[in-house]
Amino acid sequence: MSEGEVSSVKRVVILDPLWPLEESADVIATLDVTLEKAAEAVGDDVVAVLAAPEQRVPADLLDRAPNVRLVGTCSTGYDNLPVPELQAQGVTCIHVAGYCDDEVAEHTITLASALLRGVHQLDGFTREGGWWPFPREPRRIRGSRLGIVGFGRIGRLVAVQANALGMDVVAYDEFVDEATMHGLGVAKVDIDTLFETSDVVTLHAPLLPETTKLVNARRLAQMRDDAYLVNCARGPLVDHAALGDALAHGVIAGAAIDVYPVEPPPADEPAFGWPNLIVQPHSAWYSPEASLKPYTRQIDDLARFLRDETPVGVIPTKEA
Amino acid sequence: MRVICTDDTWPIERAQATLDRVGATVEFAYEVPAGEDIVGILTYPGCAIDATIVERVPNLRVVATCSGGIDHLDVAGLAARGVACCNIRNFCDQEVADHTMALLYACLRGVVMLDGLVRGGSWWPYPQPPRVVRGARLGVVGFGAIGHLLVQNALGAGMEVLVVSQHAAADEIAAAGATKATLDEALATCDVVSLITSVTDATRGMISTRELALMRSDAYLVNTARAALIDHEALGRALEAGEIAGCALDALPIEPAPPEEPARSWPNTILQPHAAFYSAASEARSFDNPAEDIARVLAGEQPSGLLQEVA
Repeated sequence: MSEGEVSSVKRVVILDPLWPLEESADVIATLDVTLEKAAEAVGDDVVAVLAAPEQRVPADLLDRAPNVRLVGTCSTGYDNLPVPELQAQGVTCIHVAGYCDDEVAEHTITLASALLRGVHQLDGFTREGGWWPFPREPRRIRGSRLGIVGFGRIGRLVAVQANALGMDVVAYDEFVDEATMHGLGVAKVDIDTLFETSDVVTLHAPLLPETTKLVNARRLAQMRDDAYLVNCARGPLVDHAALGDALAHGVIAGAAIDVYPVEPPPADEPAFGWPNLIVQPHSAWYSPEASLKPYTRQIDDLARFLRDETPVGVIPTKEA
Repeated sequence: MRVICTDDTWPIERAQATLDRVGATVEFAYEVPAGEDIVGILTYPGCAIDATIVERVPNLRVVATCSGGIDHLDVAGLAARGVACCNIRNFCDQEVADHTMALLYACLRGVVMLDGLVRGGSWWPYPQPPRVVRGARLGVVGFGAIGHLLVQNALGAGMEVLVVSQHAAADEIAAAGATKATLDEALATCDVVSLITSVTDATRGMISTRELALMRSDAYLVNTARAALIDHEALGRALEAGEIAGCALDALPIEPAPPEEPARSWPNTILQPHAAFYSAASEARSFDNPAEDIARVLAGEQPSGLLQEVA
């Protein structure tokens, strides 16, 4: 047996145990590879690895599976993949973009309006027998300032929705020019102005080394003490402990988080004890329509790759 | 001259400051006492005032409520006995429209339910799936000032909007970007039905067993108007039986809600403490305008919120 010749059938390892492979049965039937669910990708016969955001693909993947040529995540964010390391070794990295933009934008507006109107807190207050005076004063949505950090596809949809509610919308994104923002009824501001003046700050930036803990104690201290923070992007964009301190000490009025440092959060997740916080189970992306798209689209892309076509969701190589 | 205020949450010093200019003193009482020197009443939706009050308070000239709703006032009966009734109009239209949008978003995206899910130690799957708001169909029952604002907001969110109105013509509703529908059409086809109409003999109990059965099993009911629009026993049964997906209620049959309020145990229900009207600015207007109207009537001026000319 010559070197590298281990098995005639190549394998695709799916790291997500919940991946609904049955939704792609027709496509899978056309492939001459086997798809299997496993916690780890090991072996010379593994050619592709697909993950969900909950699974972190190790940077040393190719030490154990040297023939992997495709790694994918069935999510828009791909911080769970060691993209530069994989690309340097000739691996094509894919993600799924845009399948849930409306959902995330709507969930963000839902949380921003729930915070401004106190919906969640007043529900608990009423259930516990309270009626008046309110523990949190509902505020007008119309005229409130929404500060959008990151003006990509989702940030823009949030802006459109916020403008429809009559909000005063500002955004910070160093890669988007003023004219583009103006075209969507948004004023471009620097990041200090955004944090200092917004009624609600919402995060729509990708998780990168330079955006990790973008919202730290200093940024939280810049916010108004009656302001709210919404994070439907990625947990590590926020210094979690600093957010807990800010809520406990009334540095800001409240927050809504759909994402955490660890997901699912452990039973002793400290956020569950923080005041004025709405917690969500990473659900902003969800609708019945959106729930299947990332999986089926990624299998479609896997099939393209195996047919030597270019996948739709290739993550571009970053210029050095 | 005395003015009685029946609402113990009223900022009574502010009312007194307003009434100083006509030489009246304001005092609080849950029930209006008998007295020939009582000339005005400041009240709220939790305290009904009917025409028999004049038997105890013969020199009553004005009743002013800190609400837009007037179903607790016998306006015609009081006017016939020479008592002016005033409400406050448009003092919280934007707030109610905003709150209604916040509640219908919260229903469709499931945020209150999902918060409870996470706190209960669960993550996935969701007991009810969050839905797409864009393209969802909203039925707005009532096309007054707040209804207009709500239609505008919902269209901006990409919703399709039906309006149920006895007064507005189809072309007026079409001009606002919505479609006129019957109540039954709206109930049978909408993802969310929002009640934003006043209580009259025609609308009291308008949502009962038959109407709830017409609604889709995945539909939500939002009430930021008055509890009397809904047969609450029927609503509780519909929620328990899963005939509708859920509801958001800012008005309850008894306010403040007593400990035995059954809605607290209904599934998929968002409860609010009659908060839709509120912002710091609207709250100030809601108390200052009625006091000002009482001062105007006592000074022989025209009150801004007069409901019916007096006999």
